[in-house]
Amino acid sequence: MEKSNEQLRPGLWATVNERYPGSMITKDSFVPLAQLGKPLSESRFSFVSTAGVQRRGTLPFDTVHPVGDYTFRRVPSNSKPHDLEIHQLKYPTDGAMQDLNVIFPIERLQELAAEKIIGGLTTNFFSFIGYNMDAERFEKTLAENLAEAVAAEKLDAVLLSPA
Amino acid sequence: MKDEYNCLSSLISYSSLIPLPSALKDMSLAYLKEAVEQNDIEKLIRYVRLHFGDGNEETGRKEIDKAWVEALKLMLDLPATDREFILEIVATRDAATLAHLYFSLHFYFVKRSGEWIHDGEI
Repeated sequence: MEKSNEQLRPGLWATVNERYPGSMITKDSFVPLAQLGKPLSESRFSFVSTAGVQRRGTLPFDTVHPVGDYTFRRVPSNSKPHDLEIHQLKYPTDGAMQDLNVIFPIERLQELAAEKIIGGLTTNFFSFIGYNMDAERFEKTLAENLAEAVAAEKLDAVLLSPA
Repeated sequence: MKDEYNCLSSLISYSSLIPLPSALKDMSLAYLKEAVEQNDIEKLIRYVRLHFGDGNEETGRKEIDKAWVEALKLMLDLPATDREFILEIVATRDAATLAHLYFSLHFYFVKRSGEWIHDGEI
């Protein structure tokens, strides 16, 4: 735990909106999460992460753009960590570079599926970067496109993980 | 479609539960576009410094200087450079692409300096 605390910058929370401009979105249209309709052992899972994880050799996320990147990447769920890389400027990636599972638990999910604790995994997982300053564009493009791509995987549940 | 979208909407909505220091509420894309309309250079350069300085204006100012110093160091011995390439790119690419390149070059030279202040990687 002490190691984790060292990765947090002093006063991080006080400056979070200046580090991630536009991140403090206020929405009134709260939508409750859907209920799982079948047992875990019969449910097909996907995984969506803001960790900026992508297959090696694919177009890197645009970490230098001042207004952010509104694209996502498909990450094959049978990938090995060495098949993947991280392009993300805004969170400490040291731990994830040592073991990708701490931020993108792909091997843990593969194990849960192999042990039949969950029913299976979608062909692809999904990732994008969390630096998106244009909230309206985020909602109308990235979120819509991503939701459509996830739904096309014919799944029962999706795990959402911020980085 | 909308049912699957619910989860992402909920994720966005959660942030509205978080209290925010009032002095920081202004920083947003709308704030910057308004600054452009009003030609408020101070607000715009402040954001550029915050962007390059990971939320710290003074750090951002030093980061901008660092990139320029790194670029200058490479030119002091007058090495051969591909000026035709530079002229072609500037002449044939649109201004937004060149602006994107400008931001990319900043991080390139900061990375090259060996002093990397950012949490993650480009």
